[in-house]
Amino acid sequence: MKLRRQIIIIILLAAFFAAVDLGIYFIFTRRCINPYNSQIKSDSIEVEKYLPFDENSEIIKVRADLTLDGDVPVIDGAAALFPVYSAFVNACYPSDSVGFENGEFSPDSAMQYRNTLRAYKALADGDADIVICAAPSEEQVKYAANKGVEFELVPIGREGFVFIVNADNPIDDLTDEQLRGIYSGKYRSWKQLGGKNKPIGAVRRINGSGSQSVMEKFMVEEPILPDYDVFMGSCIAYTFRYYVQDVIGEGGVKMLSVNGVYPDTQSISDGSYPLTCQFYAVYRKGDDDPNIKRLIDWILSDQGQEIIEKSGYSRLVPES
Amino acid sequence: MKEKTFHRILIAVTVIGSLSVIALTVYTILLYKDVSVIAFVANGG
Repeated sequence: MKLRRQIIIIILLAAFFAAVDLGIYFIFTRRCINPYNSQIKSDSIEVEKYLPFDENSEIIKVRADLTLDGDVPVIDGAAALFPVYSAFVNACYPSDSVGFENGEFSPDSAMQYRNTLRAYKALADGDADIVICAAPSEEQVKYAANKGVEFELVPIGREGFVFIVNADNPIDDLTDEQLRGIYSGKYRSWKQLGGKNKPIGAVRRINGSGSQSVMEKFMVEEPILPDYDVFMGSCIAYTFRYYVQDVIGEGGVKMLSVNGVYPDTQSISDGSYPLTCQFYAVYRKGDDDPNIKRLIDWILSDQGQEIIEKSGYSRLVPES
Repeated sequence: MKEKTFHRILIAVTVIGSLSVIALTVYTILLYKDVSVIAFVANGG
C-alpha cells in the first residue's frame, strides 16, 4: 500500500512538470518559432544577399547615367529598403567607396546599414549624409533638433502600410476606424468585428521603427496601447507590404483589405489603397554637398524609379 | 520502497523537472527576441 502511494506521488510530480512544460510550449514557445526562411524577418534582412558590386547580389542592376565622384555621401537606411539603396550605390558609387567584411560595413564605408532607428541618429550625428527610410518619428525629429539639425525629406517612392492577421482568421477587411479601435483598446475581441469569439492579440512595434512611426501617424491623437493578449489571442500586426509579399501564398498570414481595398501593387500605385505611404531620401537641411542633390535627382529619374519598382515598391514618378 | 530511496527519487524528479522548465523558458525568451512579427502572427491562430 505504501509502495503504491509512493509511486503515485512520483508519477504526479513528473506529470506536474510535464504539464508545466507543455503549457509553456503551447502558449509561448510555439508562437515564437519561425515557420519561414530566415529572410522573413520584420526588422532585419540578409545583407549579404543584397550587397553592391557583387555579381551574385540579388539587387536590381541598372546602367546609370550618373557616377558620383569625390567625397561621396554616406548612405544608410531602413532594413526593408536595403535592397533599394544598395542598388543605388551599385549604380552610382565608385566600387572602392564601399567596404564590407565579416558581416559588417567598415567604419569608413560610404554605405552603411543601421536600420531606421539608428540611421536617423547617424544622420543627426553626422555619421551618415543621406538615409533612405520612412518618415522620422517625433522623437527622431526632436533628437535632431537638439543637435541643431533639421531633416529635409524628399519623397522617392511609395509603399503600402499593411495589417496582417493569421490566415485562419475569417476577417478579411476592416475599416480604418476599426483598426484604430483595436490599437486603442476599444475592440478587444474579434467577435466585436464579426469574427470568432477570440481575444484580439494586438502586436505593436519598437518605438522609432519605420512601422511604428507610420502607425503613430495613422492613430492620429489616440495612444497605442502596449501589446495585449498577444499570447492568448489571435494576433494582428502592422508592417510594410514588402516584408509580407514573399510569404503570401505560403499560408500562415494574410493582409487585410482596408475600407474594402486590398493592398496590391495596383492599388498602392494608384493611391486607392488608403494606407499608402511615401518613403524618402532624407538629408540634413542646408547640407550643400552637390553629390546629394545629384544622387536624389538621379533617384527621381527613370533609372532610379526603375530600381524602386523592380525592387517591389511603387514608383513615385510615373514612367516617362 | 525505503523512505530514503523515495526521497531521492522525488528530489531527482524535481531537479530534472525544474531544469526542463528553466531550459524551455530560456529557449522561448531567445526565440521571442528573434521572432519576426510575421512568424508570430502566423503562429498565433
